Amino acid sequence: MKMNDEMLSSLKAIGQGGFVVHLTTVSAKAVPNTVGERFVAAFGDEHIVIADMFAQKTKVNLNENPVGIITVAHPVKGRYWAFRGPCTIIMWGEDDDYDFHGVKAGDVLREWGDWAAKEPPSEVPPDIRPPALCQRGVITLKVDDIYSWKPDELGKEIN
Amino acid sequence: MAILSPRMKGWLERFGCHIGTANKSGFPTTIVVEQATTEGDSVVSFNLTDAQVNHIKDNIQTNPYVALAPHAIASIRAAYQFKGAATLDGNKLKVDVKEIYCTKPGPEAALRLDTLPPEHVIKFEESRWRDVGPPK
Amino acid sequence: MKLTDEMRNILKVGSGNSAVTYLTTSSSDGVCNVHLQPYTDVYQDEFIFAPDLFAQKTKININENRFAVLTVAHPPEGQMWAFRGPCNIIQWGHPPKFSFHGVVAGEVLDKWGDWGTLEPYDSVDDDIKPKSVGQRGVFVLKVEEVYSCKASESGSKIL
Repeated sequence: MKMNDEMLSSLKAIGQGGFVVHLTTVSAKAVPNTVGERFVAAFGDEHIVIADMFAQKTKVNLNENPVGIITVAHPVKGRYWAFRGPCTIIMWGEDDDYDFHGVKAGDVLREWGDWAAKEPPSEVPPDIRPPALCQRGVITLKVDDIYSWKPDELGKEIN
Repeated sequence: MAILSPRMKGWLERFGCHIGTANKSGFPTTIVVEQATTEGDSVVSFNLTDAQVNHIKDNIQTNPYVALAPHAIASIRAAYQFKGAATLDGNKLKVDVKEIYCTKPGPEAALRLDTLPPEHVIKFEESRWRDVGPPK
Repeated sequence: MKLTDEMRNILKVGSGNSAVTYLTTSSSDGVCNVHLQPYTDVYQDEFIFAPDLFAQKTKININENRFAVLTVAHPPEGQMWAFRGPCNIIQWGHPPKFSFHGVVAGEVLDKWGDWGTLEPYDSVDDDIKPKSVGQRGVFVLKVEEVYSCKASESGSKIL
């Protein structure tokens, strides 16, 4: 599913004018895990990418159940979006030609494989900024459906 | 139920495993058994010595879920991890494998394999290792 | 507890006899994980260090239950050892003065935080060599006991 222009222009790291998102994944035994993510971007108009900086349970979950939901953590201007679809981590070391629902691993890693160099988290206050970043890959979600999580219209399809 | 591939069975039978056990509060004890047999799709059996039985029997009775990692050169060539429910009958330890992971260093590290269709596992193995048959 | 010369020889980086090992950890409710660890070093004769290159469940386990057993994966005759004791990960980003059983994070990361400077990662066949590594920290195991995992005497105390 293609994201609209408003989504594409606002899906970016907070220092670039975007917002923090939450990524929810689920184990094979159906235990969810929801974590905040700062390094986020649209990749093309059907994929969202997030830096794999500190993923632990997220990664375990994606390795056994490759689906995720990205929700806007701190919505402004009515952006109560939840993006859901197949999700994986494209790790450094993956073959360039590996194809995940229409995107190539090499393309994703070349553009977003060293996020801290491209978009350093300089806007994050020193007391909550991670002192060291080590990126192992790029979490990639193919958007299959988008719904609203606003309480009075929860689940309503968007787009 | 997990399904062991022919490649997995070959390495398990030839080289056995390091078997991770723990008590209910998580204190670990590992033993090493240098040979195994496989039965059906998912069972791996080990003949333990009396010392090995005594070493882990309390753990197995209170917490039968164990982890297996292939021993010796299989630790390099056959980077898998298996987890499952163990039963101890005399000196025979039987593990019914419920989870299978690839532990090959790299992007596939920790990829869960038992949730994939068996034919995908075979293709995955063919794409990741030069040797897909039993160990030579 | 001090390791013997023979033990140090196979665990020490650059010894020429270095062994592939397994690190067994457990979740707080007793689910074990056995993690392949080809690289080790010995510190102050009683700590075993190893790089965190691809750990996932190992790290989750250590974050909730700081114990581990390290066994030699491919032991020569007479080296069927299991080293057990408290275990932690000193990660990039830990305060330099953070201490685990007297091991200080800053010193560990300075020397062992980029393991590739100590030994090459490419000493294995092409099809099993990682194409890319990203080290996030160093496992530190304080050896409090050494037992035998030789079949006929499994569990007997060595140190």
